[in-house]
Parts: sequence; structure tokens; C-alpha cells
Amino acid sequence: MELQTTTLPVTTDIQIIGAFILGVVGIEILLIFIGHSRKNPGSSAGWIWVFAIFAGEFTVGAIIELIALLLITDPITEQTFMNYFNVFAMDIECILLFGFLFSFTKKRRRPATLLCAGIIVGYLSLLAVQLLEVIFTKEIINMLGLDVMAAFLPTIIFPVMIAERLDKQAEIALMKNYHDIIIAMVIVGMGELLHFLPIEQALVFLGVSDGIVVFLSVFSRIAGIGLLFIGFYFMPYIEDLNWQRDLMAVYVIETNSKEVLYKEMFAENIGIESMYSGTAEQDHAILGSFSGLDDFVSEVIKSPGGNLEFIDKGGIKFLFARHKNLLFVATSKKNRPEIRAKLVDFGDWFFIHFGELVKNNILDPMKYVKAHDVATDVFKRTKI
Amino acid sequence: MLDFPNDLPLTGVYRLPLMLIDIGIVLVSLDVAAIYMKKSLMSKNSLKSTRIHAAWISLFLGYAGMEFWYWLADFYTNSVIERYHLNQFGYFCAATGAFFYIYYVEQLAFVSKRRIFTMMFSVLYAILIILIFIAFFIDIGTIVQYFVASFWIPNIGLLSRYLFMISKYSKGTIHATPVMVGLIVLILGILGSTDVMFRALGWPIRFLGDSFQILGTIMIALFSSSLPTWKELEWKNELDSLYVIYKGGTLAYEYDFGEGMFGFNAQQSAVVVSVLEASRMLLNSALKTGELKILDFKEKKIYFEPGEFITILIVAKTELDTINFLIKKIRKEFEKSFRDILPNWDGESDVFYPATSIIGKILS
Repeated sequence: MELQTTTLPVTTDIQIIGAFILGVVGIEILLIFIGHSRKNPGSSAGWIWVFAIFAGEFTVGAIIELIALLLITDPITEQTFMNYFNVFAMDIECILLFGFLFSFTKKRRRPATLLCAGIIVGYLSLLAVQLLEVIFTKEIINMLGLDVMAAFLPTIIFPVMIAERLDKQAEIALMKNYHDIIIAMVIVGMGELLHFLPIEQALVFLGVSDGIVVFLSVFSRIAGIGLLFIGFYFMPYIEDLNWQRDLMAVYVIETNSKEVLYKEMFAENIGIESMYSGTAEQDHAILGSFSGLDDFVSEVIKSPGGNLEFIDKGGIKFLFARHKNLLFVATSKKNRPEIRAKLVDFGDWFFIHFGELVKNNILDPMKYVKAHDVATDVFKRTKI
Repeated sequence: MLDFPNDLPLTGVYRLPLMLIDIGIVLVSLDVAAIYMKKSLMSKNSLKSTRIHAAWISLFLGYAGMEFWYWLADFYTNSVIERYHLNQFGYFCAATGAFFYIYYVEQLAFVSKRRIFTMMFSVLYAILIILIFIAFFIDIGTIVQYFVASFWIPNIGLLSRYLFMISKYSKGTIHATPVMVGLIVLILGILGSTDVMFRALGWPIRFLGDSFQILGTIMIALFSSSLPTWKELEWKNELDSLYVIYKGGTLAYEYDFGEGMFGFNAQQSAVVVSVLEASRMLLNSALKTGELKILDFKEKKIYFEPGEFITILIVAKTELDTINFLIKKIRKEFEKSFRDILPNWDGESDVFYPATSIIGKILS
């Protein structure tokens, strides 16, 4: 093996440049996650791990491909080398992601768990057969099923599935980013599809120039990974698990009567009683006073419709959102954008469903208990 | 042996490493543009912050564009003329980025009031466009290449002034020096990568120049995040009102910023601050979670700094670390200066008249 020194065919140049760019951008995406984890140790949600594993494999793949392209002059040898890499690296990614998928579905639906378990068993069997082939024949055997699963499940289908689910449940503040991530994954998928040997050979067989296929594949993957970087980097916040530890309680107050219509306590996070000095009535009186303060200041600065957004009371922070005569209050240990975004979304939902009741001055808290399911969904459940 | 840049495209042992380093420069400059883009999106309610970020974005996008065309010219052209034409696209990108950079930075009044750099650069930019246009039809040698060198004068001039002003406004506490070092490294790198330097010193200087460009860009990206936001630098403009409230809620002193809180007269202000102080006391008595620090309304942030006898209340447009620091300092100075009066204050505000110069000194 020696370093390529002369002018290379344009397709090889494109592949080298592509692998380099994909490697660099992949490292940058990984750095975003690493930076986040270092800032908030132990807080990474499952979806962060999925994309970190994806970016890790993608990056290692790109770097290995770059090294192979630079050092191995014979294209057949280079391709064989990459096949070996696929078996030992992409398959590791597959197993890691399957593990996550299994634990994720286990918490939810039985059919999904069974399906997932079936895929894992099938995949591991195929992998075992291929490994045995390698051991006994000393050659890599092309196994279409395994290759397809190794190439598409971890790199495309599974992350797209996760992104799609995140997008469905996203707060308004994050929706655009998840849209970008889904589009990015689809574009990367198209690039991967063109990079997949049987597809590449089929297109060449149909008369498409090899150079064009290589260019489109590299270009799609670069565009996709670039958009993925933009999607993650420009996220207003990376939704981890920390906000759940910080959130203490959520209240809905009717501002005219100062009545607390609904409250959801997250007492498992803290000894909430120690934060408040008095009884539930006193707590409600304090919350009512926020509503009064908001109205007062709104009137003073001639800006009706609610202005109070945040109160820093030392160890406890109050975050506010307002919808007409409803004041939504979240108490938290930290002023976190995630909690604010969730409060706003919960407020929207609450107003849509209970706005009429409030308008008709029905202030019995029992009428609002149905909000519990949504509050649990918004504030308690880890999305993924 | 290849006689680059006369023999094209660039081949040989240096081709691949140089090609990848050059792509690295483009990627890193795009990253820096992305960093400023994010900063700009996060400070969208501040026109000045947005402008200064737009300045950096255009500078680094222009730089990335320039490097891209240079890369294409060095590795994928077959003649000096072709390379020269592609390089001109690079000059155009760099000049456009630099033009918008200068335009945005000079909009910040305290950097330069007369727009000298914008005017100077506009003239150079117009000449460059004409020269590039002519060069596509007539062979005018390397005039464009040499002319571009003149752009360094307004660029370096404005950059130096801008960073000097940052250091000055932030009273030397801000880390402008590493950014300045990063810029110098970047500029040295660009100079090291020029044909003139290459002809004189050969391949080592080209590699060194390219590496310096990456290093300089990374340094700027890393250290520019430690530069203060423009809001922090201009904290004075964000202050709205300052009140000293005696225990129990009586307005003891109001620092005159001109209009005062919400444009109220003294009596109205007294009522409002009393209500705010009452709210603070209510919260403090009900919730044993530390002192109330801030009430954040959409357009106004109300800072509280309670002492033994008084509470300082500042109303500002934004939440800034600088104001947190100042309010503590003001409370301490006020308590120190009036320690004999405060325990038994008789309600007469005139005794606090000297506070104007004390607070004025702190705020200046």
C-alpha cells in the first residue's frame, strides 16, 4: 500500500472528498452530543444515544473509507476491505441500536417488542452465518439481506423512525429542527441507497454513468449530513432528561377569581413540602398573588394580556405562560427553556379543551381533572 | 518536477494532503459562520447583536467562498488563465464578505462614527468589480491579484479598532486578545498561502500557511464565544430606573435616568415600587427558598437587591450579568455611605441627595 500521488480519476476524487467531508461533519455532530453530555452528565435521553451511535458509525465509516481510498489503489481490494468493515462496525451499530429499540418497545407495546425481538434474532443469525463463512472460507460473502439490514436499519430506518416520533411529540419550539432532521435522514438514505453496491450496479446496467451515480451518492450524503448538523446545531435546546429532575409543579390559575383550577405535582423530584412553608390554601394564595402582580404590572406598563414570564426566588423559579384569563405556572429548580416550551404547549392544549368551561365561569377543579393525562404526557413521560 | 503554479493542475505527493487541508479550511470557516448564525438567532431581539453577528457571518461565508474557488483553481484547472479566472471568483467572494463585514461593524456608532472604512472599501470594491469584469475579456496580467492586496488596509484597520473598542468597553475583563491572536494567525496563514510566498519559499510555506488558516479560524471560533454580547457592553442603555426602598416599602430615593420607570412621576413611582416591595416581602415570607432576585416581565426586568434596611430595585430592559454585579455594588456603597442615617431614617428623602454622585460614579 502506498499513498496515491498522481491525479486520480474524478470519481475517486469525489469519493475521497466526500469521505473527508462526511468524516469532519460527522465528528462535529458527535461533538455537539459530547458537549451536551459533558455539560449535563447522565442526562442523555434515548434519542440522543441513537443519533450519537448513528453519527459515530457514520463518522468511523467515512474515516475508514477515506483511509482505504487513500491507501488502497486497487478498487476491488478497497471494496472488500469496506465489506469487512461493514460486518464488524456497522453490525456493532445495528446490535447497539437493536438493544435500545428492544428496551424502548418493552416499555410500550407487546407486538412491537415481539417484532423487535424477531428482527434481532434474525439479524444475529444472519450475522453468525456470515462470521462462520469468514472464519471457514477466509472470504467475505455478500449476503444481501444482512447487507440491507446493516446498511439501512441503523443508518436510515431506525433514526428516521425516532426522528418522526420526536417530531410528532415536539414542542413548537423544536418542530422545525425535527423536520430538518427527518428530511436530512431521507436525503442521507437516498445517498446510502445509491452507495449500495447492487443499486449502483443496477443503475450502471441501466446506462447511468458510474461517475454520475458516485457524484449523486456523495452529494446526497454530504447534503443530508450537512442538514443534519444544522438541525442539531440550531436546536434551541437539546431535550434531555434534566428538565424532568428540575420540574416541581404545574398550576393553572384563573386570573379573575385567582382560583387554582388544576395542579400537577412532581413530588418525586424533590421534597416539595419543604419548599413551601404553608398549607395548600396558602400556596394557592401565593399563586393567586402572581396573577394579581401580573395584572397590576400589565396595567402599569399598559400592555394587557400578561407580561409576567419568570420569577427567580432563589432555590425556586417560577415560569409563567398566559392565555387570556388563564395563568400557567411551572415551578422549577432552574429556569429551563424546555420547561417554558412545554408549559406554553400545555397552555395551548388546556385553553383549547377547557376554554369554554373557563369562559362560563365553571371553576370547580373537578371539572379539569381530565387534564391529568395530557399533563402526564407533556411533563412526565420521557418521549424517547 | 511540477512547477506549480505554472503547471496545472496540482499533482504529486502534495496534492491530496493539500486538497484535504483546503477543504478543511472551507468547512471550518462555514462552521464559524454557523456559530455566529446561532448567536444571531439567539439574540434576535437586539438589533446591534444581530448586526455584529451578521458582520461575522458575511466575513466567514466570503472567506469560505474564496477558499472554495482557490481550491477549485489549484486542483481542477489545466492552465494559468483558467486558474486566474477561478481565483477572481474567490476575490469577489472575499471582497463581498469583507464589504458587508465593514458595513455592519461600522453601523455600531461607537466603533466609528463617520463610516470612513465603508466608504474606502466601497470605492475599492467597485474598482475590483470593474477589474474582474475587464479581466474576463482582456488579459491584464496579475493586476487584479495585486489590487486585492490593497483590501487589507481597511480590513485590518477596522478589525483592530473594533477589537480595541471591545476591550475598552468591557474594561479589560473580556478576552479579546485570543480572538485578536486568532485573527493574526489567520491573516498570516492567508499571506503564507499566496503565490508570492509560495514562489519564494516553496511547499513548506504553503502547508504552514494553510495550517495557520485552520488554526486561526478555530481560535476565532473558540474564543469569540467568550466575547460579551453587545447588550452586556451596552448595559447602560438597558437601565430604566433605580430605586432605593426603605424597609416597609417606602420609596427613599430615585436615581434620575431621565424618564423614570414607565414614564411615571414621583408619586406614581412611589406607589408602584411599594407594591413591588410588598410582593417581594410576601413571597419571602411565604416561600423559604432564598431571596427574590428578579421579576421578569416581557419588556421589563425588575432586579431586587435587599439589604439590612433598604432594598435596591433596578428596572432594566434585559437580564444582564453586569446589572447583577452593579446592583450589589450600589447596595453596599449606599449602606456604607448612609450607615448613620439608615437605622433611624425619619422619612426625609433629601438626606440621600449625595447618593446621586455615589451611584453616578459606580455607573460611570
